[in-house]
Amino acid sequence: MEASPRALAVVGSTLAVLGLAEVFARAAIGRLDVESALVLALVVVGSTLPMALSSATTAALLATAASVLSLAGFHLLSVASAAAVLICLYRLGGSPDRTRPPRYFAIALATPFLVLALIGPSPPSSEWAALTVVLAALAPVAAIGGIAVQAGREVQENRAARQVIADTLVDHTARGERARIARELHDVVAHHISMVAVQAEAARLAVPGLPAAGAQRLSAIGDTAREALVEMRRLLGVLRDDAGVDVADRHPQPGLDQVTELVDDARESSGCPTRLILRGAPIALDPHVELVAYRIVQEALTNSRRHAAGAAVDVELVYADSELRLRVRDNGPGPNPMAPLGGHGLVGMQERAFAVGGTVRTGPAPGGGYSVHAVLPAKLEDLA
Amino acid sequence: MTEPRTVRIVVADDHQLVRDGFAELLDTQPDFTVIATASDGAEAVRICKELRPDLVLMDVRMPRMDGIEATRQLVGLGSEAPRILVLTTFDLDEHVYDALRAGASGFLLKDGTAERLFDAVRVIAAGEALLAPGITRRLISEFATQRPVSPASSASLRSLTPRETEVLRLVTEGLSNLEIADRLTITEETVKTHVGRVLSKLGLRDRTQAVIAAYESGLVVPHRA
Repeated sequence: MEASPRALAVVGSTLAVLGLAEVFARAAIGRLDVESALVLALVVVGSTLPMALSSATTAALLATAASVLSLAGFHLLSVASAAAVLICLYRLGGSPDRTRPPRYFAIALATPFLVLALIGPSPPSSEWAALTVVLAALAPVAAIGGIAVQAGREVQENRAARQVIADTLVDHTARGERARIARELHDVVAHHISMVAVQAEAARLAVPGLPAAGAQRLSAIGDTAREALVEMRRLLGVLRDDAGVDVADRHPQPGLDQVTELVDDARESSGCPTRLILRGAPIALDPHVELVAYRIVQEALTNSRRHAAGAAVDVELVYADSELRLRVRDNGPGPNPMAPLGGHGLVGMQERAFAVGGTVRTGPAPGGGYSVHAVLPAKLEDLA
Repeated sequence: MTEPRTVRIVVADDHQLVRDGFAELLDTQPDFTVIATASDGAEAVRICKELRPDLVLMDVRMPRMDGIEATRQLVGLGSEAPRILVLTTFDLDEHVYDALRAGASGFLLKDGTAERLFDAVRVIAAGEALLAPGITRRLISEFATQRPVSPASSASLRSLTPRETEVLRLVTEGLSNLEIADRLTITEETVKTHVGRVLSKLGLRDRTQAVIAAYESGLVVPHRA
């Protein structure tokens, strides 16, 4: 709330004009001789115009010096000068400058007027006496007033800053709390889905006289529950990361870049030779298509691990024209004729591929083993 | 490979759906028989002391006494102790690791297929290989490095001959006895002897404990940062 330089300049000039008018009026009515009038005029200028200076200290110094000199040496002071001194002292007291302590200097500048008032005038003059006493009383008040106002401003700023910190802390804690709650909910849901899987398996095998169609459906239910749990485990990883940290989704949907990771993981956890073969110039695919491709590779690798443990697996990606041809082949025992059809996530693969306008074929690989073969369009606009 | 007599099994889980579901599944197999179920760790320990099963399917989290403490108490039975297969919903569960350290031989996700369950029980009952070596190693390597290396286990490792250390390393990689025999071009019988000596020199119960000891002593360092 520092007064603008322009306002100070205006006030200073106005006071100067008023002060000169006062001098002129006094001289005109014969109360002032020419010399005194000149001195007083100089004092008026010297005390009012410095207000416009940018340095509050210099302004106050000049105003006070001019006024004290005038009072002590010439027993004269205009009201305008007195007003100027008070304004400068108030401004100095309220200055926000922290590098030097000018505020307390303002109090110091008020003391000469006290001294003058105490010493008393010589020769005594009632007008002089009155003005000196008034100034002596008001100068410290102006200085301290400025200091008080500035102090109040700073308390206000501190309070606002503390509020912002408190709000941020509450927000942070709330987020951490939400992540914890989300994790707990996740645990509960994961448990329920686990139970679905257990029940489906128990029913599939242990219900006497269950027809093959029923066993198929139960197998599909179990597979779906297991897929859901795979996703839930991934979610748990995200929730672990998120606890206490403000982070946008750090785990974007996987694409073909992540297929290398899948292949590495498969190789490591199964210990079997697993190769990734790329053919053709890679082109940018629709992100939905990339996700479908990733899921197909993921499912096929899981199946190989489960039903052809120990077999070598090849994952082949061929970029051609405007499509991606994807084949996952293992040299294991091949499809089990006794196993119920439609299980093992194959239905899921077919649905995903169909949803983006592609096709999936699964079955025995030429030369033995099992093969998953998918053809996916590069862009979704290719759908009719 | 099948045991001449049936594997006698106890299922311990606080949820009836799991107890009944697994019991039903296991009973469909000719080489398994479920002799009892328990709904918490304390009951499991009591039943096992009484009935002396070959294998216990133990849920990690149960009220009153959890799977870890029950495992510890059962392992304390010494040569009479059953083998313990821990059941869990989460694959990177620190509680599972604690159960393995307490003496469990392997862990199994509850949502697995029936075939996986049967396979797990057979592998653990036979004791010739690690169950799900890739995942088990991943779990152990994830949590073993968070614990301080114990100087005691490093010391006892020095009592192994070079050949025995080699066999231990291969066991830690998850190889079965047959695979180790192939790798070192020796007979499976010789491998079994070496593994037996390693376990007795280090005072370990089974291969899973050997893997834990290898990671915790720093003999093996996980290569995934």
